[in-house]
Amino acid sequence: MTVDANRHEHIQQICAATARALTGVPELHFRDGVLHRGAHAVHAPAPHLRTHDDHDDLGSFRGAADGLALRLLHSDTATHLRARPDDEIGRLVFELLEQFRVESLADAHHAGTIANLRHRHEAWSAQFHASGMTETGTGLLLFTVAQVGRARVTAQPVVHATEDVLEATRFGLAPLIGGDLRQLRSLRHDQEAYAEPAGRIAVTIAELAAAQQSNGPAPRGGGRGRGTDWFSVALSEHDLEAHGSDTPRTGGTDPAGATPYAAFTRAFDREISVASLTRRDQLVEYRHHLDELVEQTGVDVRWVARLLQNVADTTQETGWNHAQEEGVIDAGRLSRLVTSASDPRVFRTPRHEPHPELQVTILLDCSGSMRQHQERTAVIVDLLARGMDLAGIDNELLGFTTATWNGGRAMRAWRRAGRPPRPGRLNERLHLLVKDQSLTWSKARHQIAGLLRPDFYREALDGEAIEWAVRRLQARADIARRVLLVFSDGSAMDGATTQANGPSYLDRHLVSVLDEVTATGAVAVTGIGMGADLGHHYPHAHTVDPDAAVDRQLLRELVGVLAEASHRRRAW
Amino acid sequence: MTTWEHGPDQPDTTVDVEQTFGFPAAWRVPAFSTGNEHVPEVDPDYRFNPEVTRAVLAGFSHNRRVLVQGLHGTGKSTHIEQVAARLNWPCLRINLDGQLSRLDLVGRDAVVVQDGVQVTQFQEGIVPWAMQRPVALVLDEYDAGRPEVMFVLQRVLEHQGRLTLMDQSRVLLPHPSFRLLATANTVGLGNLNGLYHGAQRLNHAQLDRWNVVASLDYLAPDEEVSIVLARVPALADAAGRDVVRTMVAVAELTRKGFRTGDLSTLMSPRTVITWGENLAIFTDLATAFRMSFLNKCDESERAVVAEYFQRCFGADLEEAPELQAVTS
Repeated sequence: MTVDANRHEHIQQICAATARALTGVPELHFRDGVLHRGAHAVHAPAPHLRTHDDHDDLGSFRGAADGLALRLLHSDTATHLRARPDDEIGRLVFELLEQFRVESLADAHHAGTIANLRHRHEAWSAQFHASGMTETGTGLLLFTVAQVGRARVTAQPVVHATEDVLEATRFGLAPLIGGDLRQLRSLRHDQEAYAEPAGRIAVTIAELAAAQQSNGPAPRGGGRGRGTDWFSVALSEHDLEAHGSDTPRTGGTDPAGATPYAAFTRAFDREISVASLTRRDQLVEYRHHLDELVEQTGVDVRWVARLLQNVADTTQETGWNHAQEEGVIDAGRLSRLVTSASDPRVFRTPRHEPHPELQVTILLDCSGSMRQHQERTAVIVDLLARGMDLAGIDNELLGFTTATWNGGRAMRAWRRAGRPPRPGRLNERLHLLVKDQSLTWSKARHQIAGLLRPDFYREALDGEAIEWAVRRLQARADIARRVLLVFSDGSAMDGATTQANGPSYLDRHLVSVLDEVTATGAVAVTGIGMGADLGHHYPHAHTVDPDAAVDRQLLRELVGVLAEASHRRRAW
Repeated sequence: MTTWEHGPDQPDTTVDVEQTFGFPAAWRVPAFSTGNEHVPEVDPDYRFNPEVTRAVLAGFSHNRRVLVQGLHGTGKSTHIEQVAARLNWPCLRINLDGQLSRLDLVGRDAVVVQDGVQVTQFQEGIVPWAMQRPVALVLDEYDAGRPEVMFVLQRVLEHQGRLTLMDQSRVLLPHPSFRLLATANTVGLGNLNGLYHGAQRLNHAQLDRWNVVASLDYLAPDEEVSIVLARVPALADAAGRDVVRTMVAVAELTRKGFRTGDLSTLMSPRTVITWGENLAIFTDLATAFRMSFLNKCDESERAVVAEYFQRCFGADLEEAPELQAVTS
């Protein structure tokens, strides 16, 4: 499963990279399978641009991404929305025709793009046909317009496999929209002019569909308008974000709407080191256990350090090498010319030495569900922290959880206050300093072992924790490359807060925090999912198989993730 | 003033810009009738970018200090060289790498062997040497020079600026046909995108002394195609032209990918030419691409480059994800 999640993540990354190159827009990235420009979804509701991890192939992903890139490149959203018909079917037809227009404008020298678009169209047509929707009147009507419209605009033949299905409808439509269809190709370079015949076609089809639905019985199969339903799901889902270029992405609908994130009270929030929460002898015991676990992995920490060194090191001029045979004359050695005339080593050259240029913070989600992974994560972060210390990389380990379940004192304070609506976050936030940046591994090793303590694992306020970690990271010495790795197994979760504010309140905050951090580009954040795909929230995510052993392979994988983050030069 | 050993001391003729450089312009520029060993060789296939050529010609004819800025492989230095070649103007290129010292430029007391004994003797640096001759001095990688070293040039950069050789107690007056030009990858803001390791921030007082700053960006695709075809005659048929145009499309994607931060390296026109040449050797497009560019890329970026290749040629490289459904 993780292999697939990572593979899919990889495909999305490279498809997004290509979209960025095609459009020149650096903020493009996929989130949840939807192309976003910065924090906003790209407006492109044509149904064939939606791909699904489980039944679409690489060519389809490529085609959809290319289609989106072309849409951004050649279509102006404001102009498009102005000319778009209001009713559902008309709008759908209009969206399709606009998408076909931009697809026809693909650079003739991008043969691969043209092939990808064609592939996607064929795959989508086959799926549509196979789903039985061409057996309904409206479905067939829309399908025919999609096929004939694309063939007309792009001057490519209709998909061969479905040609027979179309024949009758196509013949029937010819007198109604044939003239407008013929105009499309010649007007494809002018969005506004093109919108006229496209709009007329859309209106005609909408009227036909309406007439069909009101008097004609569905030919066979399940109910009228299944085609439209299927189409419109894709359409309306996107349409929430359609006006889109200025509506921020939301984590779903929510009664709290756009209430800004706040905490009901911060009086009970604490930021405290693991050592001061746990008895010393207990920590010693945990450490003993953790040492055993680390030993069982058979991973040599010096090997980890060498890997990390390769990631972090840059060369730095640290002074001079003296007594060289060439270089710049070294005044201090000129007397050598007199004292030993046969020795020409009177020069000096600058000395370059490797120097780690990286700051890393590892942030651990200590929510209840992470408890099942606690031994693995403790071993992993112990090895990484020790390796980073050896490699000279400035590092810090932090954890986040809550002090109680179900809101604790914050919840009680809210009840006493008469339960005002939309109270914001309701819990006692607990931020754990596992290994402060100022501590070496040997000083912090008992605290790190404290991660094995089971009762730390409660609820999770991810958004606030990331803000905290980023703040701490930025307060450290000024180093160009800063990386935050978040080990987590899912989204933010806090029972009391969710009950009082709606289900997506915490998630929305997490996403907006990540968007903000990403947009500034000051810190590279990567989410490491313990058996969970964090791609829904994190622009950069990696999934780790929760059942695989901690071994060299896994460590190499994680150092690779760190390397990717530290070399990331673009924000999204 | 030292006289010029070979050839005329002053420009003694003029050439027509339109005829010589192949773009419409109604002026003539001074030139030398005969060249010498310092005049670069003429590359008859070279194509001039009108804007940059105008800037460089202004430098030659009106004694302006011209700085040409552009990404690597855009042919900045070659541009100046080819202009000089057509004007028969002697031209000297020096590379301002980080190790170049003030003494290299001005002159230094070098240890030389005389009659079997080592003695120190003053040797004139490249700047005083060139200043006294009708030479176009081209400072390559101007932004790689160390800032403190660059201040040696401060006076020289001024029109008719004299150079004081302090060790020698001499003041040098520039030769009337001495010209100073430079090329740089950045405009003195340092290495912002990580591509030009070692690029320095330039002092703005100094940047200000350059009279003309021309920017040479990548060429229009068709022009680039013509350049590549001129260099790789094996591809100069209709089919070859099509292939080269698609190769240029790949190069364009890498340049945009570089700008959006996905790649840390990009394909310069030089890379496209190398690709074309390697194509003639290996006959296989993908192999030649791998040898000329892909293997230079960071391993983590190869998958992205492979996607660019796929978009243009419609064929997959090995680096592409396997062609199968995401979940098997």
